[in-house]
Amino acid sequence: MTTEIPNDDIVLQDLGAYFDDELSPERAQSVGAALEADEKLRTEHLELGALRGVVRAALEAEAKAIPAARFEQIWDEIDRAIERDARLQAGADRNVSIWTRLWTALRPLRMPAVIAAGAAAIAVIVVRPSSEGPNNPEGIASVAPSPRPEVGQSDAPPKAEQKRVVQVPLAMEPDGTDHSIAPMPVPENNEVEIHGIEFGAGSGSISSNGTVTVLYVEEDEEPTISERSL
Amino acid sequence: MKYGRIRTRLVVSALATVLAPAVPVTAVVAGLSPTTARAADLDHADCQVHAVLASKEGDKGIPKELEFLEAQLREDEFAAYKEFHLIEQKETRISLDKVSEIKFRSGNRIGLSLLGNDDKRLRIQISLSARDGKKQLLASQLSFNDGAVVMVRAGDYEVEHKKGKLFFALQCARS
Repeated sequence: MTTEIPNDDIVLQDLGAYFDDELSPERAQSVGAALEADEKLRTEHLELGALRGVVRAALEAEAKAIPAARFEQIWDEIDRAIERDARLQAGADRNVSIWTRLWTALRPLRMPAVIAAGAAAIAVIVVRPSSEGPNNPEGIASVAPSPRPEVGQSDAPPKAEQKRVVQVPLAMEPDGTDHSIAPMPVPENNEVEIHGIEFGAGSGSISSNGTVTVLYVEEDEEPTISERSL
Repeated sequence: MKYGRIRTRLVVSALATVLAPAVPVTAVVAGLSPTTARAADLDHADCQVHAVLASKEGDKGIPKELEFLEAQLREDEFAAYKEFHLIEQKETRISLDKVSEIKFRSGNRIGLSLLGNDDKRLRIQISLSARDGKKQLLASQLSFNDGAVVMVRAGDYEVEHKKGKLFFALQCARS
């Protein structure tokens, strides 16, 4: 059974809730019936829809105006937060002593190692030779004296070992010449007019705001599907 | 007599009305009006390209050698980057309808040529090759004021263990 509601009782709030599908089924049915009956209410309902469309379009336009780099920045912050958490977790794991971890890892080898060590000790006691020279010069373990460097010869390693790793500064030519160029002054009016543009192998896009114009060239032939491309 | 004088005045006035607009037209034709005269055609211009690595890691910001691009690098387009590094800077003189090519350590080549000019703006053709030199990634005709900056983002790049995006900042001005 439908409960009729006088149209005067239907306020804008009800219409809004009806539009958002937030009314109870009974109330929604009543408002629906009132809408069918009253043209004025119907018009108001339609205007509500139109208003919502305008607001949505404006918000979407505003969102489109935000450069992709901003979204990328948000993603980066999320990535960094995840990495930070992972690092903290790894750090907590690392706080366990290395000896404790080693002892745990070697658990299966403990008993055989003890047996082997015992056997070796017995063998050393039983088979130990009675006399042994202090240091047999011809023995395997003897160390031949190293020749002393002659006077004037330095202890420095050979030249091959002195090879230096030369870090090429970022703003230096590969041939080593630093071409320091005085930069051109950037004019206040930095607007760039694009008469024609073709992106070759990959895709591309343009961003321009009067202060800077960026031509984005993507070299990848196959688009990468990731959360960021959503 | 009086009628004759009035007629003469009317004729002079009419002639002045007819001839008055013709004076500036004649002046323009004769090249006397500097504001509307055609800008001299250039046959060359000077261009600079700065290869910049924009990195999302670090906190060093904009180095001294890139301060002239500060207004551009502070824009939203670069909001994701925390550090900028100058990798290379090149300059070249470009000629009318002739392509001058600049090669970069990254392997990219930028081709530039002058297409024309007016009294304020230069019209430039720019092309960018892929790092292997086999493909052309970009070809565009642009016009801008002397010294205006055009940034071209050319993908991921790594130098001296620094990862980021490679940008080419292009500027041209009449010599």
